[in-house]
Amino acid sequence: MPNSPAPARLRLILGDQLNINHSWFRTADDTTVYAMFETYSEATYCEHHVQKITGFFLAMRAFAEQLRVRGHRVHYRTLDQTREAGLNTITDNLSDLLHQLGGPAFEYQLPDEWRLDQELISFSENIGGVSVDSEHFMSDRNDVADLFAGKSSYLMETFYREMRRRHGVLMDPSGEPETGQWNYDQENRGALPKEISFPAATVFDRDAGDIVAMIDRHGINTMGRMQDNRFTYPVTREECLEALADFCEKSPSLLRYLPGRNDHAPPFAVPRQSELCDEHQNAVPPGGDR
Amino acid sequence: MNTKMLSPREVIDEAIRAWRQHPDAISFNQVEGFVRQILGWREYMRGVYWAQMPEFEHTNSLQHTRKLPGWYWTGDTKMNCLSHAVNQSLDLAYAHHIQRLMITGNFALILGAHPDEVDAWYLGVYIDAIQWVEITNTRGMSQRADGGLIATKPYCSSANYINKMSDYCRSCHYDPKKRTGERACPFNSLYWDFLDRHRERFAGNFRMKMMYRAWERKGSEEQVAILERAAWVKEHVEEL
Repeated sequence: MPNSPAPARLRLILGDQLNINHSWFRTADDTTVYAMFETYSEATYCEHHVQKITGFFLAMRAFAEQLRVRGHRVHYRTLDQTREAGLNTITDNLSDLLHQLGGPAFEYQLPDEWRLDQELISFSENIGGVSVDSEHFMSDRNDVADLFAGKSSYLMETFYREMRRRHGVLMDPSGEPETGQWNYDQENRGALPKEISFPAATVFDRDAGDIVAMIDRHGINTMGRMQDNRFTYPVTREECLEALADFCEKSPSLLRYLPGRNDHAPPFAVPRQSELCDEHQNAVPPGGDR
Repeated sequence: MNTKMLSPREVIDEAIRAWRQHPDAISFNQVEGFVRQILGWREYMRGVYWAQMPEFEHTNSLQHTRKLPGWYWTGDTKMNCLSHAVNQSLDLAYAHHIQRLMITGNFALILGAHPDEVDAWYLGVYIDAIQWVEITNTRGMSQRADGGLIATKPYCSSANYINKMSDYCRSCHYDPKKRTGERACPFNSLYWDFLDRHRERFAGNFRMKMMYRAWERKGSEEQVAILERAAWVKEHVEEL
């Protein structure tokens, strides 16, 4: 960018930090550069499903594009580029880019992974980096540790009720649960009725041949399969919102059978194989929360 | 949601809005169960992760050491439930958490697979698997490697439960009712073998007393036959 001013700060965006509503992006500022890297280390820290790597790279690319459209300066490196430069980790790339930009200030959002958290803490110690919240979760990293300090088991129910109160979710004005009862696990434990049918998941079909070829080119081992290299999960916020609306529209009757992981008797409703497992038509909560 | 393209708050709000709009189609227990997953379990597991890492990554309280069978990467097994759960995971990079917990996770647990092996598989195979959500569910909830921090009892079950709650068993090569013999469902002998192996640890667990009483009632002859079948199953796990 020939006419851009010298950058004052470099901000790192990780592949699981695609939060366009983060306060970082409220205003476009041409002295801030946003960095995103497709790296060998992230593609190989375990043997990933081919669709997992594909999905992350596609979503990262779409996010970078969205930032550019909104007027932000983005420095994006594809796997081809980071491999070509011999920069295999996120911090390798950060060092290189910070040097290239003349040493601007470094900022990052708190990572969700312990591994990357450590990597970025020690990296920041040397250059004085600053971390900010990722502005996604409804609790802080240390809330569970604080709530259960000194306990040998952590009861989810205790935490959950605290969260319902704190955020006023399904609570009546007097501070009681809206319908009088906290827990409906008993009602949510039924076997599936015979006649139930599963609505088709919302599909966003796109060709991922180029990404797969790039993964192969760099000798990255993957597991799993992707039929005809067609990737069908949402990769942009707009697509996610569409899938969410569809889920709430089409699938409400399924909620009874698909909710409860819990800490006592296992809730158990295995979707019937004939309807669920043979085709791509399971009720996938968007974003795939486990 | 795990890539943060959607926020948990908006997902919860959308589900509640759908419930308020269609109270006839969605009952309160349904929407509560959904909210519980996101506002409860998801946030809780993330908190457990930060409370317990990095030690959590090395927990193996049941001292399990076996390898995960190769068919977790191919789907090639005659056990119908596992064939479906694994093949779907390989095709879609997705499975419902009940498939993850009660089919693939349950089998790995009662087989005695090393939690490192199980972790590697779950972290790799699912499109939503990022370590904070994967490891807490796998080592804690599913494999009970955490010594009971998250779940009060292990998520182990025999074929009986799978058969009751699904229709996988109806067209399976194995018989969910049999405990011994060539066609006996491997979940059965492995389930009792798991309980027997960990008797010292679990026999005093209030919520498992019924299971141990049922095991005692079988008598030593049947117990031996079941444990022999379990030994055969473990030795031939790649061919099941």
